[in-house]
Amino acid sequence: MQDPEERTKRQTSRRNFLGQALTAAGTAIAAPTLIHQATSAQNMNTTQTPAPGEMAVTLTVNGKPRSLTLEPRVTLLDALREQLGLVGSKKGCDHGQCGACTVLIDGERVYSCLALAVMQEGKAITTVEGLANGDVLHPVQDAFIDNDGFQCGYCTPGQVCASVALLDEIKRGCASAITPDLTRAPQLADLSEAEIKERLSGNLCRCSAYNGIVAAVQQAAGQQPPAPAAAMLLTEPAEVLV
Amino acid sequence: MKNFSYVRAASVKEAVQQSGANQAALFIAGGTNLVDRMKVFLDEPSHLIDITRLQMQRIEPTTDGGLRIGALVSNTAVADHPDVRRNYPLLSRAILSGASQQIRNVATVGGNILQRTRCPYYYDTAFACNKRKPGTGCPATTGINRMHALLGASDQCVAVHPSDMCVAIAALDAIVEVEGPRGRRQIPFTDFHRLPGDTPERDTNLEPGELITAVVIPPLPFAKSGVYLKLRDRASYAFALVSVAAALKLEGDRIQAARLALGGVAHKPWRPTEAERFLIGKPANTATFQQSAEIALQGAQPLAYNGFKVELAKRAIQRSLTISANGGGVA
Amino acid sequence: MSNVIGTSVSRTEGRAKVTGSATYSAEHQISGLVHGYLITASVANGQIRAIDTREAEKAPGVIAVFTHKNAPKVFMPKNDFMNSKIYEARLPLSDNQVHYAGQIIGLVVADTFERARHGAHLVKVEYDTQTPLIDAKKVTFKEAPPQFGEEFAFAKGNIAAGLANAAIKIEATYTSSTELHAPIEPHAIIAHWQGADALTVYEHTQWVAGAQRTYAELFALPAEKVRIVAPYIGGAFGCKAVPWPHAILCAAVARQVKRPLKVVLSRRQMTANAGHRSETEQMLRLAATKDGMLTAIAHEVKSYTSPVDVFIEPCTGITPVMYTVPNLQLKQELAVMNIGTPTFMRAPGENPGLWALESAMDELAWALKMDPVELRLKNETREHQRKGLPFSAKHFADCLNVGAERFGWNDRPMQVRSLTRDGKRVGWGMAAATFPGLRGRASVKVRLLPDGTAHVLTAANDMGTGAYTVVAVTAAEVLGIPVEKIRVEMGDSRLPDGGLAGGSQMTASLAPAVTAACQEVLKTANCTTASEACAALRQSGRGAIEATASSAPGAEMKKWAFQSWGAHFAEVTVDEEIGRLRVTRWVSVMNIGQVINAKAAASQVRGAVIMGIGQALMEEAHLDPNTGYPVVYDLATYHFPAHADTPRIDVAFVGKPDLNFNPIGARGVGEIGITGVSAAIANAVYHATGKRLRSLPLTPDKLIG
Ligand SMILES: Cc1cc2nc3c(=O)[nH]c(=O)nc-3n(C[C@H](O)[C@H](O)[C@H](O)COP(=O)(O)OP(=O)(O)OC[C@H]3O[C@@H](n4cnc5c(N)ncnc54)[C@H](O)[C@@H]3O)c2cc1C
Ligand code: SF4
Ligand code: FES
Ligand code: FES
Repeated sequence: MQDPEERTKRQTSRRNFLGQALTAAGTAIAAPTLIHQATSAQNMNTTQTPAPGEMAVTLTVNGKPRSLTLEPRVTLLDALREQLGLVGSKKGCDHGQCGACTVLIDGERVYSCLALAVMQEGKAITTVEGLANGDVLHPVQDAFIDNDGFQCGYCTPGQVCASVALLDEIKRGCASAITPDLTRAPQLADLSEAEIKERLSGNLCRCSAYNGIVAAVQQAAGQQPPAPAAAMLLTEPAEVLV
Repeated sequence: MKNFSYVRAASVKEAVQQSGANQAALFIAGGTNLVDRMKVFLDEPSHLIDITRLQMQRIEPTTDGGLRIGALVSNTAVADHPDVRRNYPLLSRAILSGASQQIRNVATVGGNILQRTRCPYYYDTAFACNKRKPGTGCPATTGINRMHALLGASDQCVAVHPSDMCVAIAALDAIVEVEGPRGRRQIPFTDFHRLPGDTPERDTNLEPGELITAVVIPPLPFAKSGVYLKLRDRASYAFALVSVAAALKLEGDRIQAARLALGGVAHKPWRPTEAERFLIGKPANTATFQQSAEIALQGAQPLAYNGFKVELAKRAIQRSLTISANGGGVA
Repeated sequence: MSNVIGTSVSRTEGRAKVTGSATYSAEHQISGLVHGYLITASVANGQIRAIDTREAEKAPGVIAVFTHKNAPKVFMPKNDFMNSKIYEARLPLSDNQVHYAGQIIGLVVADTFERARHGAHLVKVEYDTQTPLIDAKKVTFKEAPPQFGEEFAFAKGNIAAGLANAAIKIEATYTSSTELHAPIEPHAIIAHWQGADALTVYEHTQWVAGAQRTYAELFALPAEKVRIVAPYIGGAFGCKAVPWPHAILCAAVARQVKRPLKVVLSRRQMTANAGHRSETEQMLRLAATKDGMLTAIAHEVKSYTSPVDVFIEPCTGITPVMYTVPNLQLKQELAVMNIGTPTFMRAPGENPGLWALESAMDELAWALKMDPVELRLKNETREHQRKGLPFSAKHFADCLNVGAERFGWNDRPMQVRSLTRDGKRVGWGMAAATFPGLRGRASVKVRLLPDGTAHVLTAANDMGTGAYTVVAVTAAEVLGIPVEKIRVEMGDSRLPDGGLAGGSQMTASLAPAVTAACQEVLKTANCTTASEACAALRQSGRGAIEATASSAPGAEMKKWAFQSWGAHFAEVTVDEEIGRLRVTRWVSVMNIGQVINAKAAASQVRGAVIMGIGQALMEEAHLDPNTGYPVVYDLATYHFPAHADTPRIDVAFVGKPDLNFNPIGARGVGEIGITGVSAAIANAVYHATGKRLRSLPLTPDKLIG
């Protein structure tokens, strides 16, 4: 459970933890735009002065500052995919209706397709590309592989990011619409399948790898999910009657 | 989406000033509704005023025991706030049953209140729509209107307000605090949204340039037994066909006070006040709940495809009242 | 013999997918890329009277605007589905005619996506309009023409007599709604010309070699001048097999503007322009003796197509396959509506066909007071009643019996409204599943390397089916080296033709080809094992040894009917007061011959069942009745299941490898899982409530009691 102050504290400490330099926490007042452009311009020798209708922004993506010039109408998702070459975040619907574009902003899951890039300055953006530690996958990523939590893989980065955030939300005591007692949110150990499913419903999967995804979250939560394979009751080959 | 100039407002005053100075400017908070609309050219502002860094991010107790919720508090933060969970569970549940965690994390209280209808005709510029372009007509009245209004609609517009949070806020008799070019004022929540009448382009009584700064929820001890029931075509991540926020105060089996609000049935969160009044003093039983549901839907004017929602709404009311009479919980 | 085949193997491409490094069509990084955005019609039937592109052309970043007035040249391909195929026979921008709402009427090219989208919005169009044909009750039906060489109409015995003499008769009409494939990856293409006569297309395609030939014909190029790149496909379900108009237009415009061009459809554009499953109306008449032997089945189907191409939802394909019946009559009718062209969608025909037939069988069982499992067992057929061939390795009865056992079916009270839980009605229902065993020609190249690894190369593809892993597992089995040492490359037309990923045939086509190529490479190496061969390579200092082999169906097709079988058992709860239906428990038992990967095959069935749950509970696309423009057009208005709608699906495989079919004995598993699902649910709803629902989807309005 948390109130906004705690939330801010938590976010701040998360950012410190991630080692990002920050100008302002979520609650502080941002500097006026012009100054922002000036400061941004300082960190980016590579970027030209913005053309008319464009702005210079610096985004912190997976721990690295990335400077860009873009039109204010460019969404975070399009900035990631079209400008930064970070195509791990997927565009499924472009309207907040599928979850494929889910990224973490200051540790919280967000649809990057409805977020304007220019509004994300000073925030820590984590995409699916930033979850693994070098060659070592995030436990949620491993769990997706183990439990066959995907088929075509297109919704997968969003599902993975959402699952990472979900586990963090459980640790923080967040409730869901189906939590029986709102004052006693579930813990990782007693997180039910129904809770996982409700909390992940903002991530659609048309391949419907849902069983595997739920199992992956169970595994990452330290629970014992059911085996992903089918029961194989096949018998010996029939005689070939050619 | 048309391009626009963008500025981060440094103070409420500055935001209001800037918006006053520019007719084609819009505020942006979480952006989950506005960016969505802009992408399909429902809105084409030439200027966006980013209000997300303003100091309207707190939830504070009021002196009389209620809560004052800043307009920029995220939907998640409201739903998860300990006082809200304990004292206004129907508000928590209403928020949590809307959209998805990803949207709720960035959606703000102010933005949620001001989100516009999901009428599919409004949402596509291929269609005429009086709300989007006054005077062009309302194709929904003769079209697929399964999701549309039963109560308080006009022949100009039969759209519904899509918010879940607002249904609970309406039941709680909240007050909206706004600040505008002509200063601050307070608007009772039930008067905040409008019925379509002849001006469906106006969703609310907010004046141009006015900014929502906070929502004040008065104390309501019996809200602890409050319930939010949402009925929809998918188990989660879908807008309501019909929803109900309800809370009952019982003395023995007699109803002493009642709150009832409906979503998915009108252009605004709908308070069936006569149905509420009817409940007072009655025994808390099925017959009472049934009668109050009948009263609530008395003036319903179903369209070609949404007739079922009349019965559905009645059932939802009965169910919600029953659960609330039993102390509340998941509906 | 089997060490790896049939075990549970994690997907070999899993790491790429969970880290975001798997590259989908729109994501190939190509320098100089520009963006296209479609201009689409806002009327459903009419002509473009005037189209004003001036404002768009002046907008910042806009490079060019194409309409029917300056349409780039393309040639009509053979479109015979042997060499080439396009989804819609009308080429894009052919004239000023608008046949359906949302039809492509132009393309704006700009330096960024945002600018192209805005440019498209600035184009002003005036139309002359006619009333669109969109009312299913007002359109004219004609007998459906043959589809892909097969007639629909069929009669056996004497249907009138069969119906007249029956002790029990069921006559009912079932409807299903227009459904969207709605893969999470939207349709996307990058067309990159190398000069005017060589084209690289980055486009998800279920048929790599077919796409290569089709694009070649569209631009009058030799096939080898076209390269298709599609390493990953973000879901397809039938709607990404061959080029749609937007893709043809993209490639044509890219040549004109001399820049690599990317076009990605919005959800709304996908709804209008990238296929759907037609709604259906099916009339079924069943007749049976008192003891439940079928004496007649008449199955009459209506479906719809667009004004510009013919696609018939082939529902009657399953009718001669399921149950022995002496008198059988099939008929399909088709009407044209002002709607985009429908196409194959997961189990085309089988799925809606079984919705009707398996609902009717349930009605018959109730009328007979007979257990529906018993009714099906009783009427099982050993032969395909249309082809007159015996089924090979059929284990339908095992599906029914094992499924009943796993579900606990025998505890079902044979009475409606007899089960309750937590104040809700509980119902159990079952239905059969079926899908033909299809197989095509496929070629595969295998390369052994001195370091003990192998590469397997083929222009097949993996749209989420697990084909990468199927290939790796099969190669590991034959070569005797671990799966991790096998690298599979697919989805590139430079590789040997791997066939079509459609009709659930990729595994059945590929696995034998992989086997053959692995055997061939060992033969070439003159070794019995791969490790021997690799050791020899190391000694000789040679870089690699490789071989290519093909495999194709043969004479067995004339001796046998190949068909997969299954049974679904479902539990639902219905909260009648508020019309809330939930699917709470599910058992599926499938007979698909040899299973290659127990894990991915289970996922295929689970995914298909859940898609079927969507069809049963919520999927429904609508057009505005006045304008014919879609009012269900994105993922907020078109509901398909979210996590919260889905139960855990228990999957079991039974039967034996079908070695008559191919040397591996595998029949494929992509589509069968969806067939019968909606009937199982409606049957369960009947058991729960006593309400027989014959019109999909089963939304709350139909359920409030
Ligand atoms: C797929 C999807 C599903 C959804 N499902 C649901 C659902 O089931 N239930 C539900 O209730 N909602 C649902 N929503 C809507 C969601 O709740 C709203 O989008 C969100 O609450 C809007 O908040 P925001 O802060 O993002 O608003 P914004 O998009 O930033 O703003 C919305 C409007 O309010 C104005 N505005 C914002 N803040 C202020 C202020 N303080 N003062 C004055 N004007 C202001 C803006 O100018 C804009 O016009 C869904 C949305 C999507 C995309
Ligand atoms: S109901 Fe209202 S919003 Fe919808 S089309 Fe009519 S006028 Fe527009
Ligand atoms: S792409 Fe953002 S939610 Fe679908
Ligand atoms: S894995 Fe294909 S959409 Fe989820």
